[in-house]
Amino acid sequence: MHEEYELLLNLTPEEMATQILAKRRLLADQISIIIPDLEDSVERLQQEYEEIFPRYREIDNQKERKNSEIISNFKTIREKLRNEKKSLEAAIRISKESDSAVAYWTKRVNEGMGELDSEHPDLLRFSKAVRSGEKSRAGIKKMQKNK
Amino acid sequence: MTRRGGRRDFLFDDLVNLSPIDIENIHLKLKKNFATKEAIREEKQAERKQLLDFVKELRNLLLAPSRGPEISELISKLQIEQSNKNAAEKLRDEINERVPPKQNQIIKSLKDRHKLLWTISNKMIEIPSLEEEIELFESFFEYQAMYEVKIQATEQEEIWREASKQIKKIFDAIKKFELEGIDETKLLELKEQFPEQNIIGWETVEIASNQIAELEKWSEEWRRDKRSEHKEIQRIEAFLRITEEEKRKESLKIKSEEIREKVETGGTLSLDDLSALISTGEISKISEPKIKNTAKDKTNKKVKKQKSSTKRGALRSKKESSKHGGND
Repeated sequence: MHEEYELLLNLTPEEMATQILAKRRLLADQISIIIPDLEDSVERLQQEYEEIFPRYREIDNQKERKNSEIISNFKTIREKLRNEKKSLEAAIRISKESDSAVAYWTKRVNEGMGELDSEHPDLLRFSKAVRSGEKSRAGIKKMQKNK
Repeated sequence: MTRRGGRRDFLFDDLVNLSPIDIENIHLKLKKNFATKEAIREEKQAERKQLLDFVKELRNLLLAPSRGPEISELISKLQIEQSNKNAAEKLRDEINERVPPKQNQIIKSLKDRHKLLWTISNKMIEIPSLEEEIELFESFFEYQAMYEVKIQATEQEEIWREASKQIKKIFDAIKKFELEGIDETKLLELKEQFPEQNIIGWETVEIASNQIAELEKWSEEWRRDKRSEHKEIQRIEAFLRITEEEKRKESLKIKSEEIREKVETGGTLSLDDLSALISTGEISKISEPKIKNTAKDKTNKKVKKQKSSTKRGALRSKKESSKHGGND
């Protein structure tokens, strides 16, 4: 068996949870730097967009528009702006749930992967089901599809 | 069977321009063909059943442990391998039903999930939310378990392959004995039971098995065509029914016109005539004018009366006017 596969197959839930927690903590630290950077970037691109937009509209209304450099610049700026906005939205989402994510994985690392309470069901219930001879979720889905 | 005339916009497009005789001929031809095929199918099924019985009997004879110690040993081995093969097949299929993805697909799913859970992507939008993270965590370990189970299916597949190989080897070894040590009485009985078969050993089993496969192939093809041929017959029958109904209505209409004439000329109606009038609805047309006439008569009479009174008045006034005129 390939070494890379072995690593994946031998990884324990505890190791995985510990890694996710470490990753979440790192993200929590970095997100406060990432968001202002992204905000600056969005602001700068928005300005560029607003500057180029009137020129683009002017050329867009004309017939000979194919070789225009302004059009290609406009499209690049628009694409960049769209991506940066999406990244900023994602960063804000990550930042908002950062505390709860860190709390969740801390609880898991400390108390285990089993059922802790109604909000924390057993994270290994599907894997246990497969090991005990039940159908996997993919198997159930296929069976329902064939019905 | 392919539909005549290719693709149609409407159900009877290809039939409307044909003469009734042509349509009738097509219908008869199709029905005859259908009946012939069905009869052939029955014959073939009977033939298949007979061949199956023959193969079964012959195999039992060829695989009889009483043929000798060597063959008996080979047969025991064959039975073991066959049971191994069946058990492996059953287990393999069970596992595949529980865990449908292939081993390499499971590995790919594990890698994808591991990357998202273990590392921080440079792209913010690729970082999973907490909810997604939990689902990825759960499915990662489910896939891990699936892999463990799937390995067993691969093992069973290997057992199945090996058993199949062994079965072939054992069969080849048994075949070398040809008819050696065979129960002659039973062989004679079998020859009497199936006189059309030339029993020379395993080759006969092979020939008969090929014949069975051919018969099954034919039946399968007919089963596929049967439905469309039946539909085509039904379609033509439907068209014939519609045209016949139209013809019947047309002839009744002509007849009813004749009867109406008869009525108007004061002729006597038979029961058949009445039935034709009722079925075409023409009977009402015969009685209506009479009623209308009576009603008209009454009105006319009234009008006449009024007219006469007016006339009388006019006459009177005429007299009066003449009187007046006279006076003037």
